[in-house]
Amino acid sequence: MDRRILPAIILLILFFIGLLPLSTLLFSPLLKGGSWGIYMEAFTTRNSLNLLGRSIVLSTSVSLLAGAVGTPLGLLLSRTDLPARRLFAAIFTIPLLIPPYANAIAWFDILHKAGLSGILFGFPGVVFVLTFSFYPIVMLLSMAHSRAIESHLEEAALLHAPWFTVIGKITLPLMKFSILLGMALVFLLSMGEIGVPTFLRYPVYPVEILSHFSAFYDFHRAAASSIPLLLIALLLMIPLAGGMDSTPITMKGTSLRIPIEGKWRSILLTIIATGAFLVLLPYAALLHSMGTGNPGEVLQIAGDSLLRSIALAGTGATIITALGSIMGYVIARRFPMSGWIQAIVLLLFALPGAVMGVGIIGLWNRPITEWFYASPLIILMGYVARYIVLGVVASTAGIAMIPSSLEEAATLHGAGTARILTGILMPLTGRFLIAGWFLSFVFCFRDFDTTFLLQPAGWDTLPVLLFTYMANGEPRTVAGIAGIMALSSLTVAAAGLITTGFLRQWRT
Amino acid sequence: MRQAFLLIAAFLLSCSRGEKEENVVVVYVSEDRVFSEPILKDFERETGIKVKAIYDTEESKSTGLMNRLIAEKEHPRADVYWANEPIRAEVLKQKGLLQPYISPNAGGIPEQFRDPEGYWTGFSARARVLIVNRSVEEKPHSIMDYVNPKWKGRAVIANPLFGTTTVHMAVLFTLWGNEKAKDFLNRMKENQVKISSSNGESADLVASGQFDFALVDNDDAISRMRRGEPVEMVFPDQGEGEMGVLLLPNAVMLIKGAPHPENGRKLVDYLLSKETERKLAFADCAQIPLHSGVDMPPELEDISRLKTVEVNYGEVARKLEEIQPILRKWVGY
Repeated sequence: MDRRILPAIILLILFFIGLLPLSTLLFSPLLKGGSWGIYMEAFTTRNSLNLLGRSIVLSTSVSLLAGAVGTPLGLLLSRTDLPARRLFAAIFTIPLLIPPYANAIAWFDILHKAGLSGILFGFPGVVFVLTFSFYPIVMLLSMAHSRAIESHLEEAALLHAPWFTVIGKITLPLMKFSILLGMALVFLLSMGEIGVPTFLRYPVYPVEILSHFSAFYDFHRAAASSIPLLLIALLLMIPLAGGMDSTPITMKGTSLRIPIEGKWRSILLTIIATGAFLVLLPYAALLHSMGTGNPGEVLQIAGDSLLRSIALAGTGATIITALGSIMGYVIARRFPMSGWIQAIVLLLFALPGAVMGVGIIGLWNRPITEWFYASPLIILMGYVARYIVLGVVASTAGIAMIPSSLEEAATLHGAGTARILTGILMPLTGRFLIAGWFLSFVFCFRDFDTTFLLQPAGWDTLPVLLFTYMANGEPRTVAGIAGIMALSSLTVAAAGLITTGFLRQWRT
Repeated sequence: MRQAFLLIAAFLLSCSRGEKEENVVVVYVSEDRVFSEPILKDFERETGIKVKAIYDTEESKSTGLMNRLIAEKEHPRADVYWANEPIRAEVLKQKGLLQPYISPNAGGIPEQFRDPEGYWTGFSARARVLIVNRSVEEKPHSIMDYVNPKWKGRAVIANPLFGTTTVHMAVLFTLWGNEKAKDFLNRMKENQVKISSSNGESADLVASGQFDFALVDNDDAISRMRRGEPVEMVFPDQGEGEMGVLLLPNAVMLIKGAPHPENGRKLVDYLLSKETERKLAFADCAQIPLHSGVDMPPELEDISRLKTVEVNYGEVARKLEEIQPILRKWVGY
């Protein structure tokens, strides 16, 4: 098959689910005879530049801190012989599974009870809550990558140096790509976050976009205001994409275990246990509130939304994993136009959910497509457009580990692209695909912006229910809904970690 | 694996069937879900018409349902919009999204709370009141107390970029003109007024004694009073020569090109009934009925006994857009 056909089909899919709705919104002022003025405003007005500068400082701080917390945690929980690593990994993943705004509420509640809520407001508080919400991304990527490092490199180094030096000079540099990718994703998520900075009263650039929506109902100006975010995303991510297949890693999963002995064992265990306690603290308070209320009543309110959330997130994650694995193959094997595919999926991820949502409504809300727009399929399309990058990253990292000689041999025996993908690459990259599915599930499960704008009447999900009940809802009910989110997220996290761990052991 | 894919395929197929039912009404609701949902369930039970609702979040947390209504203008999905204040109704009217409808139940509602052409009708109003900590001896009685040096550093107000505080600011700019209103804002800042994220937070800050008073919606004050917190509610500016209290009614409207217009009208009639106003008065939102002769709890004042601000909501809606840069500068955004 011509190597241009598969990328062309993928680009066509990306065009329909993401680029077309976006460009309809972004360029319609020009098509209607408008000027370039609204695009320039985002770069020239003093207020915009000031807010953009604040957002960049905030996102840089959060991504550096997330790297500083997530990388050592990832190493400790994946490569050492400390006890209960899987349990700790599940606990440390929870903040990622909860919407950042709900994390802010949880911390505010607990500090408020202690009379310390004042310390949460302003720049330090926003940095704290966002770091708390996003460090698991770096941690999970570090865990996945550190296990895949070729053991002979570390074995050779251990002949001449102790573990501490080997980690600094061999292990961490080999994990560089995963760490930087994680930090870049954290940077992008922090740049687009609006709920936490608004709640903690720290003005950031997305307020500019939100105010065009909420005060002026001016969609085109809101979309034009997102351009700086898109440019930053591209500037940040494109250089990283080049490093995707440059790391020597193994597909055997036989990485060395780092022994922790003596006093360091107790010190590190104490630090990890304290960290886990701090992570659980706000959620324990939420669950306590649920316990003092009426759990049956809360379950009655939230039961249907929970089922819808699971069904939509599960289906969305499956589509993302399937599509992402094909895209990952094209990128890892450097098919023509693969750079475009990378750029587009990154751009769609960096775009504010509301901008994408309004674009999708404008394009698909027509009599001829009513069967699609008035059904939950529209939510699934929103999920795929926004989060396809997660499936792509997981699959690219997995496929890059597999020598292309396997595919060449299969091709010689007459196997086509579909057979190579389903018969060789997907089985060999199972752990990465499951990790990608799990990550996509998490992001779909906690998505609010896209679901809120696209949900057909009567199809609200758990985050939407939570946000609508936050408006003057009984505090115990709100805490109960958040508690159900925390519990179901914990279950998913545990299932994901057990499954990937089981697969790893089975393969070795 | 195959079973999982079959399950997903079945789910997708069931999704694509879409909305085909006829005896339904689709309503977008910006009034808080906890207060509006019971009313809509009552309507469903009493009429047999299935209600499909989408509820809004607080304004500072999302782009909101107004954007969705506007984005769906060419092919509307909603039959009715239940707004929590009339400025949104005016914006939709100006954008050509509404269908005029004068409900038979609108007759008893004072004219100042209705659109003269029937594009929207108000019901059950919130009052913008002062919540005051009970420990304060001499109570503030006017929003001018925000600039009174006596209260320096002791007053709090919600972020005026969002919610009813934005509307209140736009009303002040409309009544006073830009210069006087800007001067008021600057003097508030000099008087070290604290900005909170929402009316609810303002009320909590006053209840906890960190501040003496705040301008909030009456439901924020009454809910704290019912919880036994040490606060009182003051209807501001009731004296001679003062402007009166600002009332912000809910507003209900039919969407032009609605898919189920007949059921939409029935829902509008239901929401404008005295019985709905009675329920909203006794609910925790404690909204003031606009019909006369409706039972209400003792904390509320009958509208006929209140001195209220005369508002041209259309003018306020236009002013709202104009003053955004001023408000953002004032907040520091």
